[in-house]
Amino acid sequence: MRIETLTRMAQEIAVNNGVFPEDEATRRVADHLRSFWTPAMRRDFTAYVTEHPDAVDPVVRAALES
Amino acid sequence: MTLLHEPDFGTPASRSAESVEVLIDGVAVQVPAGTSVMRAAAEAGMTVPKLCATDSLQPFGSCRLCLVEIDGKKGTPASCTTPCEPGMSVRTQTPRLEKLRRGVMELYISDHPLDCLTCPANGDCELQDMAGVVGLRDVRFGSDGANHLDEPTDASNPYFSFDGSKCIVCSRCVRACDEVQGTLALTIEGRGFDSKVSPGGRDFLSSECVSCGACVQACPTSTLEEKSVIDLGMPTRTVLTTCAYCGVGCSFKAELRGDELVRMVPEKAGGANEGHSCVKGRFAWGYATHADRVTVPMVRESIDDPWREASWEEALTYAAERLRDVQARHGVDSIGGITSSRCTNEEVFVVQKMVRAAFGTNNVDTCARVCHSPTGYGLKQTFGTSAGTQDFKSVAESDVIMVIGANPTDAHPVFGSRMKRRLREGAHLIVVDPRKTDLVRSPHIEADYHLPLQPGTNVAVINAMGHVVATEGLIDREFVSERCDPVSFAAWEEFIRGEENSPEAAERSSGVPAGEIRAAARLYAAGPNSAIYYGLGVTEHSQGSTMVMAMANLAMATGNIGRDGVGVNPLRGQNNVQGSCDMGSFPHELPGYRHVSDDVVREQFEALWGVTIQQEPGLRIPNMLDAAVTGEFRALFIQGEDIAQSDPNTRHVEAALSAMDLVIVQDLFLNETARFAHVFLPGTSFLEKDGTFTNAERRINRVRPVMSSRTGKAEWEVVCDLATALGYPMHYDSASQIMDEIAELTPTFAGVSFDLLDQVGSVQWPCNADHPLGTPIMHVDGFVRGMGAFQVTPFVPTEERSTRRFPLLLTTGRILSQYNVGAQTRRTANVTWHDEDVIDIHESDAEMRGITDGSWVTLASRVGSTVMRARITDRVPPGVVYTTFHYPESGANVVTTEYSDWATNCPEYKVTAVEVSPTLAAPDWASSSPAAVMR
Amino acid sequence: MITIYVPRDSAARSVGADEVAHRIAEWAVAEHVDLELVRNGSRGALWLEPLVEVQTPQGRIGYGPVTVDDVPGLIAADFFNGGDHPLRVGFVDDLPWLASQQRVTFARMGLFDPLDLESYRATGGLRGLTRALELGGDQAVAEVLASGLRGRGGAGFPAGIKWRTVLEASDATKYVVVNADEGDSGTFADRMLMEGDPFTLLEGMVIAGVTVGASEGIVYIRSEYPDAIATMRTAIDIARLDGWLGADVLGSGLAFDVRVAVGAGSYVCGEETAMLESLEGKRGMVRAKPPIPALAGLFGRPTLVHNVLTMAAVPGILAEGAGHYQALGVDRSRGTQVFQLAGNVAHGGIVERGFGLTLRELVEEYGGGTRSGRPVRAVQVGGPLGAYLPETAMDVSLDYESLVEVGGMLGHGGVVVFDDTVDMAAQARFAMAFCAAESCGKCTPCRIGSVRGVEVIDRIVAGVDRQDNLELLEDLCDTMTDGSLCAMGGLTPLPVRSALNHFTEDFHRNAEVSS
Repeated sequence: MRIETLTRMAQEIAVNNGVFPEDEATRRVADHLRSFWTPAMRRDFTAYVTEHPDAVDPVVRAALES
Repeated sequence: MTLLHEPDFGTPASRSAESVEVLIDGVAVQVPAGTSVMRAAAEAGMTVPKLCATDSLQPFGSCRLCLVEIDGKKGTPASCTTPCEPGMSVRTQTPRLEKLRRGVMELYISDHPLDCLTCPANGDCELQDMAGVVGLRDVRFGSDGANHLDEPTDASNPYFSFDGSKCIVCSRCVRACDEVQGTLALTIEGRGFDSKVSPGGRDFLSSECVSCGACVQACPTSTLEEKSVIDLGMPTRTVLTTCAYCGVGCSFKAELRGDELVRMVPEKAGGANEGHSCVKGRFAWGYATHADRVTVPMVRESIDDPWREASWEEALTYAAERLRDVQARHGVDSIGGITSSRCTNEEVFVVQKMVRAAFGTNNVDTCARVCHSPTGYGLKQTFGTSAGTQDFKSVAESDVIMVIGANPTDAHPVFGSRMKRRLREGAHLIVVDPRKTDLVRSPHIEADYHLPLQPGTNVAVINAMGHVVATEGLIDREFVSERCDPVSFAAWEEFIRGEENSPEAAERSSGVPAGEIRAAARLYAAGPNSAIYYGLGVTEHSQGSTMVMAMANLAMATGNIGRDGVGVNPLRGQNNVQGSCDMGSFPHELPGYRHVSDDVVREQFEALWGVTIQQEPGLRIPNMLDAAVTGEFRALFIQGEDIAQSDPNTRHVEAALSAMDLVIVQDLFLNETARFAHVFLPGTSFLEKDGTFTNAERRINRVRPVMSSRTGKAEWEVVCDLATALGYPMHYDSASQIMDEIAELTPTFAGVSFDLLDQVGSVQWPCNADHPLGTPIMHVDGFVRGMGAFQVTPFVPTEERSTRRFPLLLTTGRILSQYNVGAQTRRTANVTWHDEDVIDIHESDAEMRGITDGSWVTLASRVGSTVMRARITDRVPPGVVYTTFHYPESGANVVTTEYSDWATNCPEYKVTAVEVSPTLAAPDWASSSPAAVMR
Repeated sequence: MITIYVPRDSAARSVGADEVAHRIAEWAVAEHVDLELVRNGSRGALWLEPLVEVQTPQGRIGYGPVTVDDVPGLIAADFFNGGDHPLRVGFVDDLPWLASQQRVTFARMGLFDPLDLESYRATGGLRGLTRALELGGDQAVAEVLASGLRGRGGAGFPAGIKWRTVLEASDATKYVVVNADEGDSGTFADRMLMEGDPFTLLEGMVIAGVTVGASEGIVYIRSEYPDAIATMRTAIDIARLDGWLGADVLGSGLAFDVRVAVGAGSYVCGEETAMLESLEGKRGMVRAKPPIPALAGLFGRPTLVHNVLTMAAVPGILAEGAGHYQALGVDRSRGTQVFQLAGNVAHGGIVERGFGLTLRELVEEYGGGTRSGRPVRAVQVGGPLGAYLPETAMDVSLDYESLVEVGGMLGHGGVVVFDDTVDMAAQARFAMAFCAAESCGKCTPCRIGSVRGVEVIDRIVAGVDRQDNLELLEDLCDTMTDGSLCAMGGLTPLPVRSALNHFTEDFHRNAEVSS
């Protein structure tokens, strides 16, 4: 999939969980990615974020790392 | 079976719990208080003659055939309008009554053509029957008296005609239009002997008539008659089945003459519709035999080649080989399938089984992705199950009805009529919609509050209602403490009380005055029975899932869950959206909404299917298309869905389809998507299917074959053959056997079988050992998930904003006579009412752009543009434009964007920033009349 | 100062009352005469209209019928001092025609300007309402019940029972509706009362409203009565300003307001349920009963429906006490009936008497026989659906039950007189034709039966298969009587059959022919 699509999707998930404290938000985003993203999507996106850590919200980064 | 005549008890059943005993012709009869003498007699098997009475309508008392004698009462009261009183002694047959009834019948026949033998209703005419029943032998008034025998016939409606010469002025049609349909299009014009049924002084076609067929159904003579009956003759046998249009799921009697379908008549015993219908289900079934139907398989090497007809075997082998080839070259997850919400549960089940077991991937999704996926997500998070809470009947007990982002009178007309009936009885109405839909104000209906919010601000408004409930002491503390999870409630309460959720804040984002939001919230909270009904105006937003949860929060906070008259209810778009979701069509869920990562569940499937199922979710439709563009996803099996027309950002969809190595389309027609297909597998219409549909109220209805398959195969059979060709043998003897497998694997369906459905008509899931006859109302004693879970629902505005270049917001929807992409309805006479999509624009927006009513305009967004005609209307507020997407030519989805719901990727069809500008050039398609498509 | 009365009643106006009043006023202006010209209601002596009255120290002296051309002569005859003139009828109150009446409901008719609230009060107005408020719902209903008042619209149902039913209905919203859709041929009492004494009707409605717990009242007036509509509307405004109509009736804290609704030209809307349909904005068609309007009437709410004359009797009953009213009348017909004499009669107009006088007294003594001077042949009592009574039946006592015994009915109290030139077969045909013209079309016996009735009578009169058609007419009358939904079709056979029975010869004038 296109990285820009994955980034937009991940950012939206993070923004919509933005109301929670960071721990909780991280847990929710991670949960969401696990439940609804294919392994390939997670893999490609993780690879991208590892290279471009500033391209996404810290919560997204934390979620991918968890 | 032979022609099914459903019994007619003359007047509606009384709902009283109290019972009274009366003597009818000396026989003691027990009936609920309020039952008419006529109904009591009919229930006891002593039928009283009648013409103006029918049990779908309130008693009227005009025909005077049903007169009876009652001890101690003077005169001869009409049995239809006389309620049973305890101890009443009624005589239905006396010499006086017999003479009286003959006298009345003699009057009727003195003004009626004596052409029974050549009348289309011969044998199905209540007047004819009653003349026999009362023993009329002679009409002594002669033939030279005043009469209506020269009254003209109004044949303007494409589906039925009105022959005034045969009308007995019983007003059943007028009353059906009023009471059942709620359109009030018919009236009696003139008085006395000049009384005539009139569609408001015009002909039927140009009147307010919505062609629901209720009047035709109600007519006791041949006055209102289906043209198909006039042309083909009286049907002789009945097949009970279920409509394949919207998620209401109406039960129909398909009436045939030999093998030819003559008419579809709504079934009174049908749980969803109880004898009512709309113009689509009742009349628009002719597409099934339309010349455009493709009935043989077709293949081609490349999409630039012409189609070549092939045998089933050749086509399936070809498809299987190419699928395996793609997998060999690009990996097991490079292919996938899409199930159709238009197909039966059994057909859907085998497709997802084929994808998971034969393809070996979880890349399966369904068209519910683009409509109600947020419903599944949101209701599961809050209540624990991905379905509406009520049965349709429940609305009759509602005191306050809140309709959000739904237009039931157009899109779910039979339920819309139920709702309108309750509203006419005095229930309060709140409409949350940018558009002034019919419910906002139509005859005898007026919303207490219409909140015309800016598209995309649902969550702000519903949160503000929650804020009012929380800050004004309107929370049902008892319900919340008994039924809901306290931690989640505390978090929600703290969140919702925040200033950012105040009506004043919502006014700034939504444009709805804070006072109106407050008043609506108070009304909803006051109930006592408040119900929410919503549609795609809720789900098809970037915050669709948030909104579903926000509505569930509001319902829980006010205790409006778990009994008649309340609830949170999605109005499902397609006939089997509920079912296709139930059947495990989502890439992350096995049948019954159980995540693929659940080892226990997966092992159960693996054991029965003899394969290993992936434990990770697959791709969703938009992901598949995106991955196709980047080359990772390369082959797609599409069951009955036209994604090239229905999915957003057509240019992107077409690019994805063109990029794939293999596209297999299973459909009735060569649709837009088939332009990109390599294999075309002909599908079957609902009239050929054997199976079940599950409607928006979780009701599992039987679909029975009315005619033999035009393709020679059942659709599930084709899918099984494809799986087998792929090396995974799949075989069922019948659709019933598929349901048995569904029941074995799915706890909520454990009790369902074709046998049960054939016995009881329909059941609403969960149907299992605890609820052997199903579950009309959910969460009665406790939520499916245990305690109701409040969810914090922040309002995150969409990134799709109006700009200087695209200053208007486009929202889309559908209209009564057409259905979604129009593949079916465009191939029927329904084009009479809607033969092209137009763009609705407010007068002020039109004026500043120099747009006149009916002129051609360009509709452009940042992703594409199309040309259609403008219609100037006050139905949309300034700043908002609206169109339908029934015609591929008009290309509404050329302009819609890739934005989608954050949780489910349901596309944001309802908000697109656009500009509308005048254009001189009519589009190419405008030169060919849509009527030509109909043939 | 000279006080002269010229009625404003539309019956008087239709024969020149306005022109007469204008001419008198012109003269007063020209001659600088200090004149008070009062446009009063009509006394009901229609053969004398315009009846001009002059106030003298001894009483009011009447002149009538006065035409505009008579005015100079009257002036010349010093009529404003009661001077002699061929049109002078003497002291009006002493006219035997009026003096022998028992005017209760019409007690104030013609005495003063109908919109003069001060005079209304001075003649006992609002005493009934004051007393009703003192008594409270239960006792006020008991008073109406004790009076023996029955519905004057024709059905004769005991008013008090209706009041009790509405009072005891638990709905928060109730209505009081007055049926002023006076459509019977030969009737005009409702109109005269609304034009000539609107406050009495209004007071009756307010009493009813505060008693049964309604807060809205409606007077349904036929569109053919523009003067009555205008007068009622003005009276409502005046009463509101005076504080006995509106949010706080006479300071009681109870709210009751009244509005006028105008009919649309349908006779059937005189039937209460058809009227309610019409008030709901629907086609004026009869509803099946039950439910009765007292429980589920206007918009499904408990509704007290009365005819104008019934409601107008109420203030008197409350003011004077039930006993006073109950003392009048005979048997089960208590109080007075406002008879309306019309047709071929010398002295047409209003005669209010306690029940029990004979039809002969009414027609011969009050009516003075036929206007043509020829013998009376038939009298139709009770409107177009009432029976034609022959001369031999004229000794019948005028009360509900006695009239039924002779095959007739009281109806709304209209009495139409015919002399010996009348063709009773034509009258029978007219009854069917009237039904055909006015049928709402809902029920079959009325809708088709009335049309067939005309055709059958035509064949009988023409002598076509007379015996068969007479038999068919009998059967048709049975079907209509027993089968019709309301009194329109149900009672049409009454005049037809009475004509057939009492005046058979009129149907046999032509020789018999075979079809």
